[in-house]
Amino acid sequence: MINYLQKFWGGLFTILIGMRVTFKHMFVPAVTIQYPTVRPELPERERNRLYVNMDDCIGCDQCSRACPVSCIDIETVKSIPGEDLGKTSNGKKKALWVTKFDIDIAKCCYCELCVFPCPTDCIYMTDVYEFSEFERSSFIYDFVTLTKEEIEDKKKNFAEMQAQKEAAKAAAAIKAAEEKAAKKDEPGKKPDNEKDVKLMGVYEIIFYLFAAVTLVSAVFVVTSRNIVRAAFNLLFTFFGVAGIYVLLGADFVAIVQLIVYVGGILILLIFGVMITNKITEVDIKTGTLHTLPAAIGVGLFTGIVGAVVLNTEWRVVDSEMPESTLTTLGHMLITEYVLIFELLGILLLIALIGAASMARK
Amino acid sequence: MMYDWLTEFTGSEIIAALIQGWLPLLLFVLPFVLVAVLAERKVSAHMQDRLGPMRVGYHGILQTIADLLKLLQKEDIIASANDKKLFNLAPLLVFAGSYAAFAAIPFSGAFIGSQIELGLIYIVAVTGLVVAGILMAGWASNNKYSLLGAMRAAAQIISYEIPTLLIILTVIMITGTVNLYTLSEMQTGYFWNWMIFGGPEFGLQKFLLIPFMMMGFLVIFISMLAEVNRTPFDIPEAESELVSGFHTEYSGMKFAMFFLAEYANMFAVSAIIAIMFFGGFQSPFGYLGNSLGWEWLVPFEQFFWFTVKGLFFIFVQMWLRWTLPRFRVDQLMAFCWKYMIPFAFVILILVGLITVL
Repeated sequence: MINYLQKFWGGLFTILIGMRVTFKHMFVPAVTIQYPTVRPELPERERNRLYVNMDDCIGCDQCSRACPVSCIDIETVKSIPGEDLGKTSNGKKKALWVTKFDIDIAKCCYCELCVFPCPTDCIYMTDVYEFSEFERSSFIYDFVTLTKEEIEDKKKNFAEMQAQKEAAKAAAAIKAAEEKAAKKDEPGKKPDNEKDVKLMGVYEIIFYLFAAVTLVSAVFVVTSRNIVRAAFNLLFTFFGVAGIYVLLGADFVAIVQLIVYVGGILILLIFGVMITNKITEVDIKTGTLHTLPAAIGVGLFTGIVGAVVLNTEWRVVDSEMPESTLTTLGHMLITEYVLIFELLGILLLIALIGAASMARK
Repeated sequence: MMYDWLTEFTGSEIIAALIQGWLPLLLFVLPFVLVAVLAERKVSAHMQDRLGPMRVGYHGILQTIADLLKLLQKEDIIASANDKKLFNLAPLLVFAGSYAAFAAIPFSGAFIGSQIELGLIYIVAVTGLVVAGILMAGWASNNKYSLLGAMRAAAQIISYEIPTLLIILTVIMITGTVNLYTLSEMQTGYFWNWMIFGGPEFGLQKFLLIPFMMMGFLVIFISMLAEVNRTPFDIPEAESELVSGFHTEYSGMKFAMFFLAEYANMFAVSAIIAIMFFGGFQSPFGYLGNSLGWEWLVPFEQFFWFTVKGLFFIFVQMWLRWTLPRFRVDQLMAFCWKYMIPFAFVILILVGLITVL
């Protein structure tokens, strides 16, 4: 017993400890970085997309040779003597026309090995890491600023334009990654209260509704070939009957009906599903139809019910909220019908003990 | 009350009944679900040091509306081997069962669907329909995971209804009523009149009742958590074992109906606990409207307090969800039959003795 209580207390106490931990975490700042809008700070030596500053490139091909995956493709043409190709930013004289400088960035493994041998520091890694394309061929970046046929000034202008284009492309890639804000919309719904049936009051409508539910589902219970469907229909039958009980002012009976029969139906369903093998194909109707005895029985029953209905003087009560039966029922059960009540309790107890002892075997 | 006023206003009791029936849904359940779904995502996110939805609207406040629009546009998939009639009916039944509970819940002194004399038991009874709906969904889906989830749900809810009803019985013995409105009215005044603090009557009985009421609150909170399939009792839809249990096969608006029912149920449970133990719509400190002499303010204040209490318990449910792992099936049953039910019986008997004294 003490062990049992200790277990209970232990369970409760450890739940509280866990709850304290989670509650504390509600106030721990989130670690989420809201990526497209907020960018994480890149580490100091991060390696991303390559860029070549063609103004400084002397076409020495050292980067291409350093590349382990051969993603850089360079072709050069020697300059004509007397041609001034200008100087690089660290004072080196250019001697070659670079006619092809392609980097296939899809092949690039971002090892940065091409950057170190460059004598003019013209190839380097930028901090751009978002560049997606629809075609693989667009990953071959062309850094060449001029071709050998064209005159240098025009070429230079053209080259600058292309470099600008390159920059614009990168900017466009960043922009495309940003999400568009979703459009706002408010769902609106209004009750349609246009229906106006003047012939009947609310109670009548509800009564016929429940009566229809009861009758239709009862018909389906009998005719359905599928045991699970029959059970579900039975549920609606009981629900309809409960509704009629409510309309008759027997609220407690109605609710007990719901509680007991919903539970009962569920058990029935579980058995139906678990015990029957091929539920949909089982024919649960008996083979022989005893038409004559059935007709006599039904005829008799209908006659009796009809006679009772016709001979009773029905009391018509204006639609009022009926008084609750709960208090009266409770008092009656504990005073006048106490013996029956207790006997029922004993009966249920016997059933319970029987079930328990059977389950133990 | 509300209904009479509506009848007079519209001149027809049918229109009044329709409006009365729609009101809680439009005024309360739908906005509540919109908020609660977002709140769950936010609470879960912050408990895991994340941010949750942030894109739609300021800090993602319109996320649920966007999701709703998405669900509305989705294709309604019905597999060819489904039992189509039952498959279509199940979400309706589940939602009807959980929405029917709102008929008896007193949101404030002036806003109550129906003053059913049997309020508490009525709610327990109609929410039983939810189980039937779940079983229907599981069976009609014709999917082994769905069926397993549905079976688990049925077994679980039938078991956990027993401690719930036993604690309700305990409360009936003290208060002598199950009418939720009377129950709330009884606990008026200050917060020490709440049932969890032994009820409104001052005396020895009040102090003797306090520990039992606290235990009773725990028992009913746990078993109701199990009845609405919330974590740690969410084995009917256990994602890691059963895909998502009984609603695996559902898509679009039908899935949304299950979702709506789940959150409506969460509020119904919180409301019942608030009414039974925490004074229902009563303010813990008295009303501003009374002290200022503005009579019309009181119902609004009551509505406010009721919502606050309900939302608090919903927060606790979410909190537990992100704290505790899921039960195993046998542990779940053992917990109910070996711990909850004996405890509930002990509380029932001892409280009975105290009230007789």
